[in-house]
Amino acid sequence: MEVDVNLQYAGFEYHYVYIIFCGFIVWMIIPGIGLLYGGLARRKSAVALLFQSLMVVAVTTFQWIFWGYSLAYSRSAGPFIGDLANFGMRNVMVAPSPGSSFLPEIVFCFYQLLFCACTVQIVIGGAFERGRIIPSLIFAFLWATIVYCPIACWTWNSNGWLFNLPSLDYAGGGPVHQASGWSALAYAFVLGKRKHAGDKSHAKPHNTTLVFLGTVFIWFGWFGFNGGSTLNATVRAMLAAFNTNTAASTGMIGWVMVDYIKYRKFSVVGACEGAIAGLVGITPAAGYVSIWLAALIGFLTAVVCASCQNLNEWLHIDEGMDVFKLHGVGGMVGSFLTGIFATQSSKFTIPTT
Amino acid sequence: MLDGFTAAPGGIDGNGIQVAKQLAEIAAIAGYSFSVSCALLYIIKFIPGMHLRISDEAEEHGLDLDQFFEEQIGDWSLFEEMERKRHMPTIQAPSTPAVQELASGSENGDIEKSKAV
Repeated sequence: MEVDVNLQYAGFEYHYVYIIFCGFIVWMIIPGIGLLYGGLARRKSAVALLFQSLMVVAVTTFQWIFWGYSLAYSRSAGPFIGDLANFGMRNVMVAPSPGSSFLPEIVFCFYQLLFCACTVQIVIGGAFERGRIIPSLIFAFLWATIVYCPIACWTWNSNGWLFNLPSLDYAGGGPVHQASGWSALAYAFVLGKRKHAGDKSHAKPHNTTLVFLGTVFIWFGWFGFNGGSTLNATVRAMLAAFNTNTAASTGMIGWVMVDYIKYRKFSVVGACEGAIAGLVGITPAAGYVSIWLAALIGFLTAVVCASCQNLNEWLHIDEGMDVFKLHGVGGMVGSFLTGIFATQSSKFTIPTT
Repeated sequence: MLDGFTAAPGGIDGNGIQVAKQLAEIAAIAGYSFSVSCALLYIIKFIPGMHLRISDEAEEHGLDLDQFFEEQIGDWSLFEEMERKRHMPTIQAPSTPAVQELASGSENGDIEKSKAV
């Protein structure tokens, strides 16, 4: 007997069409991070970061279709990690996904794959200017397996312990930002400091234009990242996209203000980092808060991150891409503020006729 | 509820306990990811051939030169310029032409000799 597998979604196709496009937009974050980190590094070590940005996606994609998806999202998962029910993409195709019944599982799997790829890429930033390539790719595979997948399972799998606590994490303040920030710090810590710290070019971005371009791609990609994390195309998704832009903007204002108060000067790198700090801050909250509170979250996160200017010196860890500052500290601030500002107030309710 | 089914009350809805739950999440994820990453990296580090860092000398010349074919960011003429400057004598009168250029004007033997140096 033949069955039309599209029939079950008839009339609701716009949900999965929207989400798969959000996935395509999230993909832009990948070259974005490569350009951003490449621009922040010194010229003589920048090619490595461009190379790693694409190679990490390749490795993570393999990891995801091999067993990553199953370890994070299998339906029969425990509270801490999934099992191998969907090993090698077994049974992942047209059935309604575990995350949302509006989506075929193949769409859900693709969208989450890109989340994992972006996260691993952020972690690898911790090894800049001194980490060898091959161990970093091996690490990428293993890190996705034993760190990202379990934490994604805790947070988003309907059996996960954080999901059922419940802790609120709209689009990945925990699995994406806190996990990557802390792990990048660990990578920089295990590697040790860079040598030749006396060079004139030390800790200076070699190309501000690349930093700018990377940030543009990342900001754009984040519309898909937050806008799609409802896993449907309802008004909540639209609000999340709106909040994303708002928080990035106020984040940029916040960081530039801190820069200006301290030095009476401006910085493109500072503005870019401010936008990213705002985006990180709003990630766990985007679909749960009203617009002015999203603006506040973006602003506060950026001000906190910008005030941690000397964080690496305090910690004595040479983590010069500011991964921990932006994603670790920013992610923690964002998750904390989500707990305060999340709301289901009457303004948020669809009027019932 | 904007999508019709998701309820996410936080502190401003009077659900203050949510803040504590968020802190629990932060502590759990921060602790787990940092410690497991450290452990994983130390294990990889001591596998033969998997040392995480490039050598100090390679680091001075840049990660790209050590790990890639002849691929660098920037125009190659930049490197020729740098190379030429490195071979120039450090002290010379402002109007004196560079030593290398003089050598190139003489016999072939001299050029080869200067290349060998």
